[in-house]
Amino acid sequence: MINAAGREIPSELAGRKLKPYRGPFSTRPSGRRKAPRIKFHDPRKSKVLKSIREAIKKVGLKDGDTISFHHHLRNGDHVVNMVLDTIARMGIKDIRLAPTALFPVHEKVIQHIKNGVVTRIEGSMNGPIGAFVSEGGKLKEPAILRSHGGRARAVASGELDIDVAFIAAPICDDYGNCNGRYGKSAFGAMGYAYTDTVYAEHTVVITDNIQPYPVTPPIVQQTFVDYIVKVNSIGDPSGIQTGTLRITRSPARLKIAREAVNVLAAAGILRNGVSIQAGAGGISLAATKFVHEYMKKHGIVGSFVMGGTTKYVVDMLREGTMMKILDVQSFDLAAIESLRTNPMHVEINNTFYADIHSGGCAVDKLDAAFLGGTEIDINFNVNVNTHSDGKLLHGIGGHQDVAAGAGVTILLMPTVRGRIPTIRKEVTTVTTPGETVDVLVTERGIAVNPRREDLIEDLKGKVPLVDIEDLYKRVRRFCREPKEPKLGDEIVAVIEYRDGTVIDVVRAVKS
Amino acid sequence: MKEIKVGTENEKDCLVTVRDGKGVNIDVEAKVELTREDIVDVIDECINLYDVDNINITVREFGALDYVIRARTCCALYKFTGKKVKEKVFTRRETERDKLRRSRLYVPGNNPRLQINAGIFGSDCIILDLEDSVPPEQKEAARFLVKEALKTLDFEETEVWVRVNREFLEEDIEQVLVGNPHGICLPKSECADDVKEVERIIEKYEKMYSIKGTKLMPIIESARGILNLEEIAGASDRIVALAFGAEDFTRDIGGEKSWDTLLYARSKLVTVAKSFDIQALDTVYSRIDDIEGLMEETRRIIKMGFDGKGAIHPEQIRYIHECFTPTEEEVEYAKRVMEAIEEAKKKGLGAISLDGRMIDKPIVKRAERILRLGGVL
Repeated sequence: MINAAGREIPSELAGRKLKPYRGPFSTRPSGRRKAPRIKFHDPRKSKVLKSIREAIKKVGLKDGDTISFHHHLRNGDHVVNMVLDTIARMGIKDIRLAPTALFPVHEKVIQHIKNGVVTRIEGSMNGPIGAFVSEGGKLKEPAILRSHGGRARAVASGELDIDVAFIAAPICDDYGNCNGRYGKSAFGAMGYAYTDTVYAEHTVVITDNIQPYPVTPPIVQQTFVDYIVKVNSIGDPSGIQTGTLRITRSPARLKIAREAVNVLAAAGILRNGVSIQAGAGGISLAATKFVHEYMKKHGIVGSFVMGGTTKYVVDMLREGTMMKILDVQSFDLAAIESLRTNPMHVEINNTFYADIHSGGCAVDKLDAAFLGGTEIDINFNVNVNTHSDGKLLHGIGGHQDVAAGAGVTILLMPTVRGRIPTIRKEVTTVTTPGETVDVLVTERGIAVNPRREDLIEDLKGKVPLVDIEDLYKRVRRFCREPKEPKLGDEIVAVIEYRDGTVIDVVRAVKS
Repeated sequence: MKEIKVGTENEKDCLVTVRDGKGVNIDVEAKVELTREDIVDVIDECINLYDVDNINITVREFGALDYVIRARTCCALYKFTGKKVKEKVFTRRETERDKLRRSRLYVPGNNPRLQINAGIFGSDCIILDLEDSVPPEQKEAARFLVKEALKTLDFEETEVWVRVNREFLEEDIEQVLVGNPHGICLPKSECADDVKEVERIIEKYEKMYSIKGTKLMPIIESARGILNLEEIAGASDRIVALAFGAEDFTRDIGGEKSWDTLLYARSKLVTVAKSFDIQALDTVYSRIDDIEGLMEETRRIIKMGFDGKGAIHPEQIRYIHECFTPTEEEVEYAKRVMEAIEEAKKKGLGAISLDGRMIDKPIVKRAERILRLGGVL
């Protein structure tokens, strides 16, 4: 089948029928969400167990089951590796791993794939694990990659059935109430843990800090928690929070950030009540800072800022350019401190943030968003997952959700990375469809998606615009078209769109 | 065994090593394996150009564009074989004598990372530097890299210059004129003979390469240079601007850098430049984090009559341009001056007045300048 993004996808894969992508808002769900198991806890017994092994035994994890993790500990996480090592030692095999994201610290997963402990992955894949899976022949079934909103949807609908959700918490009481705000391993918001705790058969909290009942606010709630395991350390603080994320110092990247703000200003979007998605990448970080400076200078007060929360986002709240922060994930110490102390800094969960099959999600309320990517094509399709050599190196994150939801989605991207041009005739993999991407800002010019005639009209004469094909040609004069990667027949991953349809597949790379 | 190494292991660069060999052996270690064959193609072209049969070439690539690989490989092959090869000369439109030169960005000649985006910051001129920013052992490599950059990169409408070495005038010019820059900056210009010498070399290679119109920008950075400004300015019709180099000048006079120390030199340079109807360009501002200082100095040199300021960091450019941008009132007044002239011409009047004030030639000149700086003319 050819889907609406022009990609060839099989109608069936690994015994599962695939629904082709048909457009960003064309799927109408029916039926009911999954009904979670009715739980019972005998109040005369303790939920606190001595070891991960004991918890795994108690919940009855067995071959073929699905386990999930949330990624707020980022590259400092110890929990994924601890749990997988224990599972391996217990001789359990054929596990389906369903993390909200993985990081380089989880490279060890490769060993567990090799020894048959992990045979399937749903969620995100990046860096070394993605490169490994790209070689082909590693997993029993193709990996399924979903956006943050798409994953929340799949968990709630029962498409992704989780047997055990492992929740890493820097503070927890003996009944399982926990949040991410306090303790030596504090990481701030824990919004991505929500659906897993609600819908998983079993929820096990793993913590290095048990405090007297009740721990508040109970972001993960006792009503869903079956067991609690106390360990020495759930993570390495230096990998969890960065001191302050550094804004790019590259003049070219600063130019991109500045131009992006010029676009928003010229289009009349930066006015009272504006809402913005901020990114945590180097260029988006700079763009967020410049938006803040612009709004401050012109006395503009926005309604909310969302996304990876950083010091630059916190500054907007503190200095009055934004009324509220909606936070699913906090990136630095300033963000954690703000979440603890400022009632206008509000923690939200993954369904609230981005689930399209819900009564409405927060991305819909965004006026503008800054996003990145590895490639964009002349039809504005964006690749977030693979590199031009076909290797699967990144997860989707909230990319599809934010692009579909925001009024104006601005892609911030340099035109060249090393020898590789980023504007292609066709992207290697379509992650986010072009019809949800409005503006491309590069260091060599700004291109508006021709579908957005209104925006082109608003920007005419105020910001210099170029045709994306002219930009493509200009770059080719000094940066040649890379060769097409040699791909095998084996599909190593399915890229789901946020509504559960399939937007693309990733094939094995021949070496 | 002879071994030549050219390039670096820095980001966006490559390191080329050439040794004797039997037959042609190319060994490439690419940052992205997918691009390895393309890199081999570039090296093959270079080998054909230098017509070598027995050689081992090893390339370690760190995100280098084709032009960088070509420059590094050709330089290595040149050093290895001693051969001079005939290359296609780049065609570029000549520049105008009185083009706006508010900002000129100095870009190190041997650093690909800083060259690739040099054209995107909106400076009026780019100066690819072979002189102070290039250590002696890299001079040869820089020549090749600047030449290839001139032939390849998208400088678009920006005027491109090359600052050459006084000690290697001929070597530098022979190479870079293949890339046909708009002009040559001659550092440490001290007398008319300095200018005449470089002009003679430019003429020789313009003839050889069938190009013309290469402009000259003497940089004055010594007491002797300031003393001989008049003969320097008058030494060649190719000169479109005189640039001032404050760092070397201060050192040369044994002073300490301050506004007062440089005032005489600046005053004289502006005066001489204007009397020869060429532009006066001020020195760079070296403290890149001090934007306020940059803007204050730029405003002052504009008041003195300077037409431009040097930049050593792209972030400085927009602040320099901001200083050169006239106020709305200035633009309005200039427009009225021009209208009054038109009016007088129509009526056949000799003497023109506006708001009860005589409009003479200098006022018209100033009005034209303001309209150009304001982007109206």
